[in-house]
Amino acid sequence: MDWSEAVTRVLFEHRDEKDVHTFEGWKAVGGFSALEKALKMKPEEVVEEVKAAGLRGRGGAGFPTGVKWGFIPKNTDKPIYLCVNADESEPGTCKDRVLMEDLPFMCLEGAIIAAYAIKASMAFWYIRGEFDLPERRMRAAIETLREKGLIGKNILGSGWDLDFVIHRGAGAYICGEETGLISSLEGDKGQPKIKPPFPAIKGAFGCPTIVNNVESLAAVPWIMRNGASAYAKLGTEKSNGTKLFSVSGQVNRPGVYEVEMGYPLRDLLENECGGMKRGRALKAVIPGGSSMPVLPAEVALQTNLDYESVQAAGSMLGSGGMIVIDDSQSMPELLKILGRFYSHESCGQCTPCREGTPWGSRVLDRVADGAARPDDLETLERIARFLSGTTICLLADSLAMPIRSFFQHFREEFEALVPTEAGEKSGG
Amino acid sequence: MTDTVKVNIDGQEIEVPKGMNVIEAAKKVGVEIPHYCYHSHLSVAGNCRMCTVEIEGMRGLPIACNTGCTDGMVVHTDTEKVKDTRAAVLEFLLLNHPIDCPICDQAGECMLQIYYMEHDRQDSRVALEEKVHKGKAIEVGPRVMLDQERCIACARCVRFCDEITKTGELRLLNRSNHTTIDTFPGIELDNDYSVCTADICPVGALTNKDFRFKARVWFLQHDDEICPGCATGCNVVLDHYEQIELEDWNGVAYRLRPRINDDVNQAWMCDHGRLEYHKVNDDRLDRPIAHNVEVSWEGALTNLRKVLTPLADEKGAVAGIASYDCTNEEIWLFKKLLKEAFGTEGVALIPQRADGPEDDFLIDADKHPNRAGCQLVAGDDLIEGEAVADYLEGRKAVIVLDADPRSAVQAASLRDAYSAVKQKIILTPAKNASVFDASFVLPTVSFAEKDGTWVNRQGRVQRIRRAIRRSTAAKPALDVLAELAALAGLQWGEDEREAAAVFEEIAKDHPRFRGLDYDVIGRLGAPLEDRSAMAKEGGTV
Repeated sequence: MDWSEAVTRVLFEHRDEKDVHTFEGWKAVGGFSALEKALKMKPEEVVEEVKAAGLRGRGGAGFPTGVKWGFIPKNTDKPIYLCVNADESEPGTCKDRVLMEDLPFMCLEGAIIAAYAIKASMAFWYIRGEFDLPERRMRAAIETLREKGLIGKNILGSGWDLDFVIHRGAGAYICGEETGLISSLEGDKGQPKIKPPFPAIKGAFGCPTIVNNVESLAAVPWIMRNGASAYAKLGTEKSNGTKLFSVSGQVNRPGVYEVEMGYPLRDLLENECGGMKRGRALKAVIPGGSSMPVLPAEVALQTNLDYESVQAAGSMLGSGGMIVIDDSQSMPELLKILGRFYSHESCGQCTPCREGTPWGSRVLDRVADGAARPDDLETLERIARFLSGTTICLLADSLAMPIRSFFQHFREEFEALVPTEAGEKSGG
Repeated sequence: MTDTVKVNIDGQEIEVPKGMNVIEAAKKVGVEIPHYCYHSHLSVAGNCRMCTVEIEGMRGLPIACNTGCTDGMVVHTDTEKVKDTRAAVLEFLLLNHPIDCPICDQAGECMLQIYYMEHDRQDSRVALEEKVHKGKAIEVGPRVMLDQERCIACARCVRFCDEITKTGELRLLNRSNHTTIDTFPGIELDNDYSVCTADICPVGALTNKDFRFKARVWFLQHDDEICPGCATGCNVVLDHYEQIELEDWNGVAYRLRPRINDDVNQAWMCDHGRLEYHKVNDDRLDRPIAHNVEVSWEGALTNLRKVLTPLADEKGAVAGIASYDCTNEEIWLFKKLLKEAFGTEGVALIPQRADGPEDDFLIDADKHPNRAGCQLVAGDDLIEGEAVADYLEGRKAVIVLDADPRSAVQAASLRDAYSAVKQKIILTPAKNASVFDASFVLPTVSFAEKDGTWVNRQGRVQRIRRAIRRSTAAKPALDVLAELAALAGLQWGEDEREAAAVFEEIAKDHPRFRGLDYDVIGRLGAPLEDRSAMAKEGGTV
């Protein structure tokens, strides 16, 4: 593919227009035409349209959004809920924040269409507690749409009612996991629930619920306006459309960039991000948010940014929170920070995660701080092994994957810090 | 008919209802899948991760508690992978555990100890001084103590308070390895079933205050009983201490615990019922008393003979009063004694205690275990309420079986009529208000020392058992009744005073007990025949 042409923009199509964060500004660029179009269709047709577009969940799992909507049981006598997952807290990820700050009405339009598609009459905007400006923008946007009659009774004469409630998180990372989000929304401690039953069957307050990431919903207006096939044409065969990447680390221009799926990682670093800071060498990239496996430079630079390519390279696209690491960084030090984060954020429910993440963190601390014990690397490997796939949600895996990949690619850095049997450190 | 499916568990084929979880299915073929958070009578939490198994065709290690059986499912519970994971889960669980077994009441019935020995047996990689510390010896409620360091956060107790009592006192607080069970400030774990949380706690985090530091559980023996506390008849286990080798040993009851019976009490019992074991230990009478002097059985019987022999020829001179605490067998034999030995028609039944609090779950207002059974067995001879005073009128002697006519709960007319009877012969296991002016007091045994049956409020016949042995002079009421019969010149064989045989007599005679015997009743009881007919007649079922 020739990437020299201007990259098609979906989410950021109008980001740079004046006042696009206001109702009038969004209206001026064709806002709400997608909603009007959708409301003239049957909800099932909207679901089919999004399915045909091949939109995949942008929260990290990459599950097809339209397919997820289709899981709502037909003819249920319970109310159906939409939860917008705006609890963006994966270290390295800040795309939803930008969407909500800059394009709140686009996000909201997508959410209203989604609510219509799943026949919800109540939607919750679950937003990370620390997000101040995004929360104010979304609250104002919801108020405005209520005044304009786009939220409330009989929206655009369709006979369909929808109300929105903003719920601010109380500071737990795990509430970004959909069942953890639901627990928190229900007023309980934010901890994931066992599946099955899945939220589409028994979610918030025991009712059918769809939880969608902000970025996924934000793409829906474009899809409705331009048609599923226009969206499906973008990206690769299996990863359609565009994706936001929040690039942080030692690059000259860190930030949130929209690229088509399949865009080379090397191009993103060199073109959009302006290359490595101070001309230093790239050492490693975590492509999809801190919970994903790290890729060493030589692998990362050969990788394209779509679900399949990143997986083939040994990591995952995740939320697109890309952390760029140059050769001045100590990998044990980085892993120590990740260990502290996941240990602190474990909800404490499942045994392996409750006990394993703080244990792993403690061992990583002493390794990085030069107080390692001879068998610490084996202990960490054992912890990582039993953190994988042994818990209700993926938080335990989120520490296991970094441990394993850091060890796989940068083991010598860790070994250098571990004393040998004789009590000597093997190197530097 | 529910759909059934065939599953294979460790090579054993079994047919189970579709969707039954793998833990329960495995139980049916005798395979125990270790677990902490799963409890058959609570919702599935899936957090302890102890019950992982391998299932052919499924990825990773699914948890057995949240995996429903499907047709053709092949489950392996003892592969290397499963064993490794169990050991790892135990290592995680014990990482911050204080290992204070020597001072822990749960020791001996602690699932951490048991599973550690079965599945782990490795040394800790974390030094004692590195462990996370939390609250110890917290009075989380008036009857339950909490030790947060021993807690494994399985949340059984939280689910119990949410789902069974619906009172929601307990919550999981904090995160990561600081996660702990607690109540919110100002809230106490003080519902009528609070000690059930200690029962279902698989470790020593929640313990029963009444039992705290009283006994090491491995010294205790366990027997099936029925709670005598009310008409519900919760199925319980009595834990008691016996010294088999000691001739003159008096067994001691230590606690009652609920025993699963889905037709009666599921897996629960109330906090009031738990204290009923005190009836075994407290205020007991150890020797017969004749005119306020402790005597031997021979002495008592010799004196009694002088009183009863002349009355045996005088039809109806002797009255009989029993309480709703008696067994069906006791009422049957009592009726027979009164009729055959003394020609007395009718047996009076009186309460031992007033009605008390009730709820819509297990606690019944009627604080007697066998009102329904006593009434049924007394049958046409039943005399109750105001009629009892009239019934006593003009009697020369009265035999009182496990009842207290002088108690404040009785009507004044009854107390007066009772006082007017000259000879008062009392059969009772414990001291009561009527003991002090009785002519004869013959010590009988408590519910835990005798065989018999009770009928609960649902019309379900349930067995109590002779569990405790005491070396005092007290005897089962059936034996004492037989001895009184002998004094009156009747010869009852061994069989006629043996509980199971007496019950057979009842079953032969009484249509509603038809078809029942001790084997049919078994551990879990059996419903009376023709319950609808009973309800129509207005009987207590």
